[in-house]
Amino acid sequence: MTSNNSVSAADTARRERSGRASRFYNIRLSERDAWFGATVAALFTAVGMLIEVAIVRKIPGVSAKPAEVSAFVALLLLIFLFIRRTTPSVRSASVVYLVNCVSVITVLLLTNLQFAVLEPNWVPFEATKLGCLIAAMVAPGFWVGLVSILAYFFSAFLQLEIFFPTEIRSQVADAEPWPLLAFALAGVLALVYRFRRAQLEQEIAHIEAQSVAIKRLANAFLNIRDLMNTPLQVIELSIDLLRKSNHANKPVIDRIDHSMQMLREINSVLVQHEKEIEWQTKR
Amino acid sequence: MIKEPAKIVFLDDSEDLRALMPVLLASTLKEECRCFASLMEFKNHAEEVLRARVAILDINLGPNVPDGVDAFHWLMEHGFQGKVLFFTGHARTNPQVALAQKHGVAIMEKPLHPDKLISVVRHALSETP
Repeated sequence: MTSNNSVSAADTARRERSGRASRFYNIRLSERDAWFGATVAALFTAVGMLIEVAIVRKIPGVSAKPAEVSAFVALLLLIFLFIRRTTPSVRSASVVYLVNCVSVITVLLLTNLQFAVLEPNWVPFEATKLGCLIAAMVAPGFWVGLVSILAYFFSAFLQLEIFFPTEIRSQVADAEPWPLLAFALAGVLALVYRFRRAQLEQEIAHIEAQSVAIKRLANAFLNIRDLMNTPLQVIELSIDLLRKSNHANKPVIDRIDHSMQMLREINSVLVQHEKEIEWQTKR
Repeated sequence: MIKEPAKIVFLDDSEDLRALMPVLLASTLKEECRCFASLMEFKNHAEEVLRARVAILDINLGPNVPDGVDAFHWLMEHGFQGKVLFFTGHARTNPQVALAQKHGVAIMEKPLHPDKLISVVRHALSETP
């Protein structure tokens, strides 16, 4: 019975481990980590868009308004994140993060073509590529990160394919969309790696918590056995002395001896579990 | 007439065991056994304790007091020539007890059948001069 239970418990644990291993994409970051990721993304956008405004002012013909609006949106998101910082949640962090992404992608869609036409040194879709990598690093959830990387990639890809005139495209973005695709794939890989790592960290934390619980249980067993064994020894010696006395009441002593045997069996069960726990703790 | 010192000393915090052990050993081995409740008591009777041939030591002597392993170290430091037997409820898990085992100290786990207990003590007595 005991060994069957141990086997089924080990099987269940193995199944749980393998189940967890195949579902890294379902890993939920802690509320604080998700909140921090969304905050970094919004801060990055706010600072990045202010830099964009400074750059745009030196290039006549490129509108600064989209970057200013996006910086303002990022500022609002930062204020929201700051006000709600004591009650963080993954859901709110994800919504904030996606709003921030939409804001950035909109700015890029509105300015990419202007840059391509007016700025001879424009590196095609540089901000989009950067967005793919940043998303992998700070997204508050796997699916949110994946959606934002795909949004960055497809927005730029479709813009290139549909809205870029052929001559502009051949002048400034001849190699695209392959570099764009490479960055998007790198972003996805980095995202997978990050959440796989988060999964391992959570598993380690889980195992450590189990180990602490097992050690507590082992100590409880030890204390129970320690408290129980001295009285058992007293009964053992008393039975022996009574049996050897001149006026031994044999039937009564046999009864006590029988009960003592049952207590010995309980003790041996405790010893067995104690050994198992020691073995698991050492693993 | 000078009284012979006890060949067996027993250190245990259980009053019941301290009452029964001398009776058992006297009735079976015909040997006197002196019992002590703490290391302090042990030290107060250092001369008698150190002349004994077998020392039976419980490990856990109560909360926040020196334990049987401390008593073992005290015996070794004072040149005890006899045999030491640990008599405890959870011997295997104490690393110091495992270390003492390497120095030839035997361990008896409670609850032990009286016949086995007597056999171990008899064997220990036979091994000491």
